[in-house]
Amino acid sequence: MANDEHVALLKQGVDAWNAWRRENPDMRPDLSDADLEGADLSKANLEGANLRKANLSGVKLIAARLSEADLEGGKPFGGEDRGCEPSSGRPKSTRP
Amino acid sequence: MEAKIGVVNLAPGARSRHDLELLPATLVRANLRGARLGWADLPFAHLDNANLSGASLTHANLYEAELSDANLSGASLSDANLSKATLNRANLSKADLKGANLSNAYLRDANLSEAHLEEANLNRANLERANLRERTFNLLRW
Repeated sequence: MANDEHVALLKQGVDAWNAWRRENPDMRPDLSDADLEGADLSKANLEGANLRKANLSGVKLIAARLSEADLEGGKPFGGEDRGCEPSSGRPKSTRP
Repeated sequence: MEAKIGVVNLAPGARSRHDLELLPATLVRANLRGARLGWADLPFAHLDNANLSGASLTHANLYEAELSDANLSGASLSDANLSKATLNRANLSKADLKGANLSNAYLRDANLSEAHLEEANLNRANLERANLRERTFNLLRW
């Protein structure tokens, strides 16, 4: 499960998120299982973040930093869990 | 850690470095196995050597992305935009590329065995030495 505080921080926007990352360089963000569908994460510093099983459908990741992040999605596509696509076909929003 | 400088105008829908001055997403050593990234916007992303096996990237924008040596086996890339992407030596075995745009993509030495390429656009793609054994592309657009 995601750290609710970390998810809330990200939902404040990329500027606030990146500022928090700068102030807490040793913190590994836990966004596992978070629903980030359609979020605009452009320029976000997500290096080393735990994004396991997060829903990243439709996210904007232009210039995002994701080195050493873990985005593993659980069961590979084609397994029982095919919940890999946006439920409505397209992203539901453009903000976290 | 890689320095990040500059950036930019993130005009929606823009697809050129010239009108965006954008920096690519960097995913060095990221684990993307089975990741859910359908419709994700990742133009110019650096995904060399990435493990994307079983990932869902349907309709994803990977325009001019760097995917050399990436493992995309069994990944779902249907209707993805891989135009001008570099996929040299990538493992695309059993990948679903139905309707994908691979125009002008570089697929040298790529493994496309048992990949599904129906309705894929391979116009001007470079498939030199690519393994196309048992691929399916009966309705392929060249």
